Amino acid sequence: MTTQQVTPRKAVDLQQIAVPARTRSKQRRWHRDLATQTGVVAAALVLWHIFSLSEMAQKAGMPSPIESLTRFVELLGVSVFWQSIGATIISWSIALLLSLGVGIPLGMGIGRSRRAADSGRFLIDFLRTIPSLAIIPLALLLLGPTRGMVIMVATFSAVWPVLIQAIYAAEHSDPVLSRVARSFRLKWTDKVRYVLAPEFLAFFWPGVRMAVTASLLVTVGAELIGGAPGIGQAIQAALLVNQQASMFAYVIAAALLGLGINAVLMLVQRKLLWWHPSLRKDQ
Amino acid sequence: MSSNNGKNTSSDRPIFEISGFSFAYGETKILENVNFAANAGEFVCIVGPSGAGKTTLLQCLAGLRQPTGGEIRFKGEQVTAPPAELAVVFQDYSRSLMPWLSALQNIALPLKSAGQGKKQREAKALAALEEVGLAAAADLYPWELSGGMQQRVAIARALAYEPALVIMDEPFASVDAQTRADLEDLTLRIKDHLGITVVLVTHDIDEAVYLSDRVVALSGRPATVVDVVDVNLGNQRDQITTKERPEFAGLRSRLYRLIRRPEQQAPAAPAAAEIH
Amino acid sequence: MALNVPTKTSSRSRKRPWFKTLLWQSWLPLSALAVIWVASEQSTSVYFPPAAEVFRKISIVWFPDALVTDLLPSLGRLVLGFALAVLLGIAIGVLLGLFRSAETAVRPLTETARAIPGVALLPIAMMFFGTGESMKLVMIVFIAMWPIVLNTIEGVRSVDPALRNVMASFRITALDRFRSVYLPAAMPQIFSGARISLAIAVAVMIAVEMFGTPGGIGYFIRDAQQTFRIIDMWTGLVILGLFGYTLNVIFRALEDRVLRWQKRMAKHVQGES
Repeated sequence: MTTQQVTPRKAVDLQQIAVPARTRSKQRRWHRDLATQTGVVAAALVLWHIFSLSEMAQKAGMPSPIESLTRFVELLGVSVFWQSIGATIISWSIALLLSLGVGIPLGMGIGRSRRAADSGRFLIDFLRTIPSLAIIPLALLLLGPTRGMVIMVATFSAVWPVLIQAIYAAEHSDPVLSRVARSFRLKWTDKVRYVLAPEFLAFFWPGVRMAVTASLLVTVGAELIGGAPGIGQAIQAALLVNQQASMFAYVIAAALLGLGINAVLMLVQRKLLWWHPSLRKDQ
Repeated sequence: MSSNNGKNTSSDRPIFEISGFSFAYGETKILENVNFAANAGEFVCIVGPSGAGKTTLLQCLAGLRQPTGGEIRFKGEQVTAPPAELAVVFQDYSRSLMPWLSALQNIALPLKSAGQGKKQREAKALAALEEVGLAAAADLYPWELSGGMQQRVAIARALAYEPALVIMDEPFASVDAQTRADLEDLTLRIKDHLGITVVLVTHDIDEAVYLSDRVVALSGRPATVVDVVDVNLGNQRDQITTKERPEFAGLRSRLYRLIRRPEQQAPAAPAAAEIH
Repeated sequence: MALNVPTKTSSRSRKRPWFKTLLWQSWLPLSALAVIWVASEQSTSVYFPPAAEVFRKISIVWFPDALVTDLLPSLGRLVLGFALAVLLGIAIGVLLGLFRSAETAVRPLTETARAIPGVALLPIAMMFFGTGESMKLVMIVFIAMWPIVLNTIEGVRSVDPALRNVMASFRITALDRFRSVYLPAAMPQIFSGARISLAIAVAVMIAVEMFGTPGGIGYFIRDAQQTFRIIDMWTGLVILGLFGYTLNVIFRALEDRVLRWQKRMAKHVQGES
């Protein structure tokens, strides 16, 4: 690092000169990045188009990007489409809330006691390694191809990361901060709000991220395999009646849903954990 | 000892030559019109206040950066990339060693890249560790060693590379005083033993005078060479007796004045050099 | 470090005799098994057959027949698919990690690939590859490799800039930079990505087997349910649980071996503070 050699005074000088220039160049770079990214996406679409004209794609019945996107836009005006998406979102969010509601209190309880953690270790390790999609047949027997079945399977997938991360967070809460709070005689509400919750959240957050991703994957998977209402079933249904363009349109919808959920997740993360070192550095 | 021909400063084949050198970040000039050279076997220290661009100068000499003006020649050839016969000991030992490699592996890695066989490079690495008195630590990881020991591993890595020139960038800036004195003596001993040339950057004038055959003083803004001071304190240096000599005090005061005058700033600044 | 995922439900490192720990770790699983055993004995529900029955059936159905026809194909598929996902993931990740502008350019594609619920791609894969072995493998590799790609990118970027100067000045060759610097530097991140990848690979394997041609534990469970062989279905779930647990144990052992330096360092740093 050469810039270390600059004295503080010099550094201030440098900044005064450089700041406007730097923001301008940052903005320019952002514009350039956006342009190349658009270019790459366009190139990918062109490749898809060329590929869809090939014999192999024709035989498989693969639609061109224009067909798929047209179909996607058409579907935006169809209520069945929105019902499918809505069903997926509802199943997914109920499953997520259920797993948070069960996993956090249970995990915090287990994490506070070593005996509890030891007692639960094997059961948790064993149960979480069962791929949740494998219990679809069981859930189908019990509940049939319904939203309840989807929620059951998706909850089973999301509860383990939540539980494990909550145990971890409870085990690693820093006693120093608690002592600080006590020595300054913080009100307990303030203690929870400003000391305990942020710290717990920092350790717990990866569990949320994994739970969100896993439960979405499993929700769509359970709809597709189990035939319960939602995007997954719509994709499968479109394939069965040979409407490849519709199928691709639904896959596009699933991708957009995934991207949207991810964006919301990032937004929440920035709002809640902006102070965390590992997040600060990549800004 | 026999290979040490360094006292002959009038040799007409300098090991490196810096001429008309300048460096700028955008429009901010850091260094301008820097000229100096070193002969084989010499110990040259570069001193200057913080922010004088000493590290930048070293990085250009090492071929890690390109000057924005002038040229640097190493053994007669212009430096455009890191030369093979040149090794660097970096300032921050804790970051310049690879934490996933043992001391021995850290030293052997450059030799492996140079295409040497496993037996050969391990023998060389071990010899280098012996040279710095750390043979017992060969299989330890850097983070299992103290700061001074880590820096000795970094020095051993440079030695095993068998360079003609070793460049050291404030190598002892972040160790305690006793360790620092030990490392200084170690460096002097190795330099004599192996007959290599050393260029060392420091902001500590005592250290510069104690170690060098010549001291290059940088100062001003943009910085340039304000003087090159010959240090005639003989070949054998001692932490106590050498520093007691009146010549030592004289050189020390002379260099302090040289570096301070143009800026009129109190030499309280060095602490800022480590701020990132 | 807080945003790292723990490798296991870790415990505090207070000393306690090993048999006491063993006792604490085993009483709950054992009593849970006992409760299930007894409760299911009286069960009148067709869906929850007596546990004793299930375990008797395991030895009949799985040893050795289904082991060969269903478990081995699943294992082979998973090992091959996961290995390919790891290799591809590291290769792509290292390239994108080193060439920042390329990574920025293709980011919309990688983000989409990561965000899409992978199983939704199943019908597309079936369009091209049918329901056979190649479809199953393609699905496992393509969906499972993304966590490794993204973590490798992050890991490669975490290489200390100071080390870049070291590598340049000691003229470390590209191959050695990859082998001795970037790969080990990224290894902890690669492993935490690979752990997620392995879970995804198993999930995708089950999904594609449920849809695909016969052979495989997913197919076995699905088939048993559809032909109303409830006890067989339960044996499949038990075997799958053991299968997943064993995989996890193997993965952890591998991780402990490869990341030995890191574990030692963590312990060392803890010991100092």
